[in-house]
Amino acid sequence: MFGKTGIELLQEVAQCPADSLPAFNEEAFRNVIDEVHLQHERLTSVYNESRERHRQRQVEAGEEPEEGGAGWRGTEAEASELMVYHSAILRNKRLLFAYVKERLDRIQELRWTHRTLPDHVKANLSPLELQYFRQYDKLLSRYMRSGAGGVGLDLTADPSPPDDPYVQVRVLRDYGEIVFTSGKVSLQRGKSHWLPKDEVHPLVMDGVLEVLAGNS
Amino acid sequence: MASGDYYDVSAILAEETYVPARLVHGCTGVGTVIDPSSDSADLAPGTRLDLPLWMVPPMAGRNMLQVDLPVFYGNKMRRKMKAGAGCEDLRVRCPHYYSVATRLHAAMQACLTADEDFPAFILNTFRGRYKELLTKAPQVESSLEASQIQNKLSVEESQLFTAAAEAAAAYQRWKSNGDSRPMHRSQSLKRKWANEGGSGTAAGNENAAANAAS
Repeated sequence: MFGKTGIELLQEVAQCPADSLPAFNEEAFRNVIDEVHLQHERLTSVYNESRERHRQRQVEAGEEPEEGGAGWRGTEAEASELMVYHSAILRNKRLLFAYVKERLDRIQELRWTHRTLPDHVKANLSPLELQYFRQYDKLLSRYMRSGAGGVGLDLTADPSPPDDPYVQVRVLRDYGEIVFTSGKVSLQRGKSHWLPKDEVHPLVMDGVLEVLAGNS
Repeated sequence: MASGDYYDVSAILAEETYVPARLVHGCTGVGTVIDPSSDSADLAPGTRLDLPLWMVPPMAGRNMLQVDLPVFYGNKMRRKMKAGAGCEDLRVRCPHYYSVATRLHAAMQACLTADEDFPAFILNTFRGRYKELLTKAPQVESSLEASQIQNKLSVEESQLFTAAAEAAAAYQRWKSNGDSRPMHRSQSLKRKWANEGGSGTAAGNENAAANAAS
């Protein structure tokens, strides 16, 4: 059946967990494009052959051969064949578009949650996708900066208003010494700290810290 | 067919579902591709075969196809649903039960094979299952139990189930410590918080951490 490679390609991305991506499948992508070329070639040749046959019939019957596109003159069975090719081409187009868009949406989401590309994702991107991330990063940073043309706010920070400016966190993995506005803290696995909530947010997103229940 | 869900992965996957159809005029050339059981490239008028849902609307609209209801919407299924809609396993029959139903009905209306009772059947099925789904979701204790329930739900119902369970969990969190929106990296249905009261000295914190870790 047509479109099999395309749907497998899409499923490859769809089944991957939301914050990572499989490697860009160059080969499958090109196979789908080749299938489209084949379908298009078959479609045009069936169409042209049936027009030729019709012209022949007209010449043999002594009529003037029709010029220009003047509606379908082939058999209904051939028309059905053309529709199969036509809908298959559109289906493949849709599958490829959805594949690329799904990947780009995730890349964009990573800029908002993690602020950078994790290494295991970076390794799986095509060069164009890396370029997309860099330009999107530049765009967003420019929008968020203070000064000319920017809003002066970090929009990727925690959007929920805090009940308490400080929060208790437990360290999930060793991270070294970090300077917070409350002082310098050495982040070692298993220790708990009392830290400013908004500064802690990116570390929680990266899995370095874990929030413990806020105080009553 | 212009639709807002062009890029929607669920919609695309739903259209992979195969449905029974008859070729009104037959077709040349692609016989072996669309009908794996055929020996020849040409198919005779009236050939019955299973086609993927994405191929159906363009051809049905031009009266090249007549499409029928697949077995999972048929009479046997309707009787089963009447007996008890909530217990049926929809995922094994057709994971995108409702999306396929709406698209199929539109295509059948185009080629004049529509069953007038079909929309009512689908609506009643959904009504019956939705109520059960909503009552079960907040009571789920573990993710094992949740996945057991979700294995019988269609994709659309599964999304509603997850939303209901997350809403219930958020409510519980709000009730117990006044913070319904946790700042944590991964979403899970239930999250047991280690409830250390208040701030304290560094020693107090380390003791609390040691207690929680043991």
